[in-house]
Order: sequence, then structure tokens, then C-alpha cells
Amino acid sequence: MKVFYLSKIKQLNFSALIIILIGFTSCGTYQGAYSDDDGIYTTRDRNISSDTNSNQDDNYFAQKLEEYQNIDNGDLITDVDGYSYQDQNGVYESNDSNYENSPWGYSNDVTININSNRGFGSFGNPFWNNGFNNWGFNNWGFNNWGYNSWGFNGWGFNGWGFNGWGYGNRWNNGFYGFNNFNNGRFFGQPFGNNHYYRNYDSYGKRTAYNSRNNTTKRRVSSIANRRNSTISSKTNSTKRSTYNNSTRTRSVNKNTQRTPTRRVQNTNRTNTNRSRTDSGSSTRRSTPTRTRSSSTTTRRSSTPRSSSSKSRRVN
Amino acid sequence: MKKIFFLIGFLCSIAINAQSLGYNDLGVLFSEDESNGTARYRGMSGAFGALGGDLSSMDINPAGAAVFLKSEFSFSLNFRNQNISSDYYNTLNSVEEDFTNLSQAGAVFVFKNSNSRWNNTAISFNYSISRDFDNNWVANGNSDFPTFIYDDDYTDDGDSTNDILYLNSDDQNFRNFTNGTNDKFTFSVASQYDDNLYIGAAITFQDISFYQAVTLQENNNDGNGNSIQGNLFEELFVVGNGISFNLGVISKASDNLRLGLSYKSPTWYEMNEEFRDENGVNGLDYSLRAPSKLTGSIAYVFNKNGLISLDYSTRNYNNINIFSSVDFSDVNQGFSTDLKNASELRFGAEIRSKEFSFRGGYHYQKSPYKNALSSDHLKGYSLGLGYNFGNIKFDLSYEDANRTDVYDFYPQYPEINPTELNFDTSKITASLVFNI
Repeated sequence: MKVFYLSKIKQLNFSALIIILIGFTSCGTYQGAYSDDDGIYTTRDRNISSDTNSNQDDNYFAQKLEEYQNIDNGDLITDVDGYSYQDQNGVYESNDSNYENSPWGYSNDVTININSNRGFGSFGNPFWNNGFNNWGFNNWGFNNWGYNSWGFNGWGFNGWGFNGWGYGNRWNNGFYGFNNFNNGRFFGQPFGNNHYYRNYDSYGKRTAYNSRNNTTKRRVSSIANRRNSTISSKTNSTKRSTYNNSTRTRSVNKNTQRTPTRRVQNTNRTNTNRSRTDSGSSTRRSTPTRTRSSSTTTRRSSTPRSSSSKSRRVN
Repeated sequence: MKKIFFLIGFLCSIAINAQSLGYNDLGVLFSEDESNGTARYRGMSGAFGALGGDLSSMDINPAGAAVFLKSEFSFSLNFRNQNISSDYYNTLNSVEEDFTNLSQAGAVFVFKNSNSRWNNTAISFNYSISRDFDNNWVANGNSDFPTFIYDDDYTDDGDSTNDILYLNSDDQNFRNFTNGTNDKFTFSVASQYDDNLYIGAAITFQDISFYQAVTLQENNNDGNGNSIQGNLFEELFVVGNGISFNLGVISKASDNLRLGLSYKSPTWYEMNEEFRDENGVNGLDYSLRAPSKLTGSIAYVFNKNGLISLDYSTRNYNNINIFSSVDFSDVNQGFSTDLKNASELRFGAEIRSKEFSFRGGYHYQKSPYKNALSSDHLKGYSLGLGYNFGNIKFDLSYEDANRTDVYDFYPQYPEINPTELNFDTSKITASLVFNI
């Protein structure tokens, strides 16, 4: 349950590769004794090997040559010239002009389509324009073989591996317990298959915060240190103590400091760079995210959750 | 009184926020290298810059390909046990998970040329997971600072007297789920000049798929038996690919002393991200430049009995940069003000006894954040064992590493502390090496 489906596939491939390689290795020469072929410890000594082995080789070939020179015509095992047979049909002609289809690779009209839609030259980075489009990324490396056709889009990522098969299932099954958390509202939606082809609702930089950019926040100490220290010293050192007034005033103070920055910036909505979204499949718009369960029941006690340590193993 | 309530209601309708990773955090995440590799490499904590002769060593110094005497294939399987514990207002949580990966696969082909002074040329291909993003952690606790305090349904009737304010905080729950990998494909070519000099070059393609899902749940009450629950969910999906090149040299200063120097260029990534929240799906394309890396290495080989090896790498994370059609100057400013030059130290040793090899190592990687605590630096040790069957070698390694981190899921509220995280990683790597 814990091991990902994707990993299982990788393990299958892995064992298959091992079998193939053991096969390769067994076809090679058998080396029963341990020999030191580690390049870190052993240096190849070219002179010694050429001196000792070449004499033997010379003798061997000289000897064989001598043997063959002593063979006269009568000793030939197979005389190719003497072989003939009558073809019953008699229509076989070894005429090259009948072959209109040249072998693959010799024809002049082989067309190679180069998919450079998601090109690396589109962002004004001078590096991409100087040579890497021609050889490295588009023709050979990433688009045709590695990234688009084979690796990510066609086979690995979207079609087979990540979304269609691996990911969506896990979410829908509530594998990580997110469903309970959210009543299935978000995770139940099919997330996967047309991931790459849907239209965006907006384009641009999302409003994002970084873990450490807020200089007003001080980390109290590391977890390891905090475990050893006493509780009172930790909690009282934070800013929360300044808000120890009555609850209502505290909120008012808090809100005056709050800046309503939460907006996804829709200003850069131009869809210019996205040449890959060619299918007009569903433009899904997610439902409002905040689920509010406001009730008058007293199912929740107002005491804070106990602060004892709690560890569990997710299976 | 009315006025105050309305103000609160207006602000609270847009207040609650769980946060996926910001661009500065992503820049660091996609730049850092976790250094997976063969079991021999991991058993010596990756200190292979001056040694070569291992497929993973080309990730540090491409000249190491020419150290091989024979062509070979190798594959590595990686089992990772990840324990992430969180501390949010003194409430501790811990999630433990196991992951299995094909972490390395590669081949090197050696061409001997005894007529030239460039007498041993090797080309190699190596795949490895540069970073595995699969992680899952939870945090909960009570900051005693409610942010989702007003049910604005009550404003619809125009009467504020019956409005309810939920000013008592019960708890906050946060979950962070990440998945994906940063895969690395390295093609290298190296040659040995005379007996004591190895020179190599490599080109590396990297492939990122990163997914993050965060959920925040906040429970508050009004003190009169009414409670309110705010939920927020965000998804971030980033795919990208990148390229870099790598140059290196290894010198045999004496029979036993090896010196190595290598330079890895910046990695130029093309990224595409999709972000999903209550406003719908937002997309963005951008370019990311991960910083270059310089590695100096020294190793001493005790004839055929063993070796010790030391690598020192330095990387200036100030140089991370994002280019886009959208203005990223604030983010780039963040890279240069919040990050620093971070160094990395790897030490490894090997003892050989006939077919057996015994290995150990130590690894220290500094956090690139200027305001990092000393516990944020990654510290780890490794142990390894190898057996040589002749044409097949089998290696096994165990390593354990620890670091801390911080995550702020109320970034807009200076009053609320971030959660402290502790990452404890144990890895077992098993490798098979086939001579061909």
C-alpha cells in the first residue's frame, strides 16, 4: 500500500533489466577467479601486455597461415562455383531496377518532423539560440525523443504514468486521507487526463510567499533544541503574548494590520506562449474553495487540542 | 460596533490562506542536488571527485569516466525511509513513509588506444535521480490566533446584530504532500592522457516533475457553542527540463595521490507551472537558472588496500535567476538577498580485502538560506559493503541524514509562527555492476 504504483513498475523494469544483463554477461568470457579490474586501484600497463601476448598471437596466425597455404584445390570442402540449382518458377531476376523502394535511410524523401513548439529559444535567453536548438534539445534530445514524444507526454507522464494511471487513482481513493479532510470536494474531481490540455483560467505569476522571506518572523529554535527546553520558555518568547487582551479587541487589532493581498493576478492573461494547448477540452473551473461548516451544534469543545506529542505511521 | 464587524467580515472573506511553495523556495528546491547514485558512491558519501571509476562519479567530475579499465553497466535500487516531524506551537507530529526508486542506471564504454598518448577514452551515460520530491507531512496545533473568524452569510441580511464572530481558536491543521522527481541524464566523454592525467566533459539533461498539494483547515468557535471551519486547498504542478555542462580533470600527482577539479555550469531550466485554488487554474511559463558548482577533490590510495577521499564543493545560490514574460524582479531580488554561497563537504573511505570492500563516509551540506539555523545544514553518514564476483559486482550502502527546515502556512500573518520541520532520511542502496 505504501509503495507507489509507479515504483512497482520501475521495479518490474529493473528486474527485467537485470535478467537481460545477466544474459549479456553470461555470453561473455567466464572469469572464475577474482581479478582486480578496478581502475582506481589498478593502472593499465600497456607495455607488458603487448610484449608478452603479441608473440603468441604472431605465432598463432603464422601457423594458421602456413596451414592454409598448404591446402590445394582438391581439399576444398565447399566449392561455391560448383553449386547451381534450377529455379522451378524461373521468374527470379536479380534486377535492381525492380526495387523501387530503397532501404530505409537511403531514400531522399524521408521527412523528419521536428517538434519544437515548446522551444528553448523563446525566452530570450541567449544560450538557447546559439546552437542548442539545432542539436541538443529539439532535434535530438528533448522534444523528439526524450521529452515530448517518448518520455513525458506520450508515454511516461501524461498518458501512462503519472496522471492517467498513477495519480488520479491515489487521490480518488483517498490514499492519503485527504478525502476525509475535505469531504472529497476537491480531490474527487478528475485531475489527471487532460491536465496538459485544459485552458487556464488565468496566466501569470501566482501570489506566492516563501518560507523564509518574512523577516518579521523569527524561528524560535530548531526542533531538536526545542524538545529539550521547557515549554514556558518557548511560548512566551513569541509575539502572541502582545495580543493577550480580551478576545474581541485582539481581533480588531489584528485586522487593521492585515493587508488583503490574496488575489491571483490576472493582469497577464495573454495566452501567447502556450502553443501546446490546442485541444478545446473542458475548461474546468474549480468551485469556490472554502467549505464552511457553520452550525450551532456544540460538537466542538472550545478547549485547545492537547499539546502532547503525537506520532503515527502512515500506511 | 457595527462598523468594526463589517470591516472584519470583509477582510475575513479573503483572509484564510494555505500556501504552496513560493518561487524562491522552488528555485532552491530545483537547484539542490540530493546526490543519489550507485551503492559504492553512496557508501562513501559521494566523495568520488578525485577517484572516478564509478558511474555516479561522472555527476561530479566527468574525467572519472577514463579511470574505468573495462566497459560496464550498473543499476541501483534505492529504498528510502523518510521521517518528517513537525512542531507547530509545541504540538509534535510525525509521518514516516517508505519509498522505492530505481535511483541510478548507466553504462560506460571504454576504448583503448595504445598508439596515441590519449590512450584510454571512455564514453558514458548515466541516469540518476537528482532529487526525489516524494514527501508528506502534517502539522497541527493551536496558534491561538484565529484568522477565519466571520461567517459572512450573516451580512446578507443587512443586519449586523445577529452576526457571529468566531474569535476563539480551536486548532489549525495543515497537510503538505509533494511528489515527483528531478531526473538527471548525463552523457560524458573522457580520456586519459599519458598515465597521470584524465580530462572529461559532460552534458546533463534534467527533467523535473513536481507536484504539491496543501490543505489548511482552521477550526474556531464563538464561545457560545457555535463553531466554524475554514478549509483551503491548493495544488501546484510544475514540469520542466534543463541542461547544463560539466568539465573536469583528475591528476595522479603521485602513485597514490589523486587530485580532482571540476566545474558544473549553471543549469538552464524551462519550467511550466499550473496552480489551482479557488480562483481556478493559473498557468505560467518561466525560465530558471540554477547556479554553477565548483568542486575540488583530493584522494589518497593505499596501494591496493584502500583509500580515503575528500570533496569540497561550493555553489553560489545568489545566482539563481528566473526569467519570464512576467516581472520577476522581486523574486530575483529575494534570491540575492536571502540566499548565500553554500558549501558542501564529502568524505569517504574504503578498505579492501580480496573480494570484499568495506566503506564509510560523512556528508555535510550547508543550507543556502542566510537565516538558516545550524540544524538546517544537512549532516549524514554512510556505510557500505561490496563483493566482487568477477564479472559482476554487488554493492550495498546505508546512509542516514538529518536536517531541519521551516514552513510557514500563514505567511501573511506575522503573528503566527511557522512550523518547524525535521527531516530524518535513511537510505539503503543496492547496486549491481556488470562488466561487458
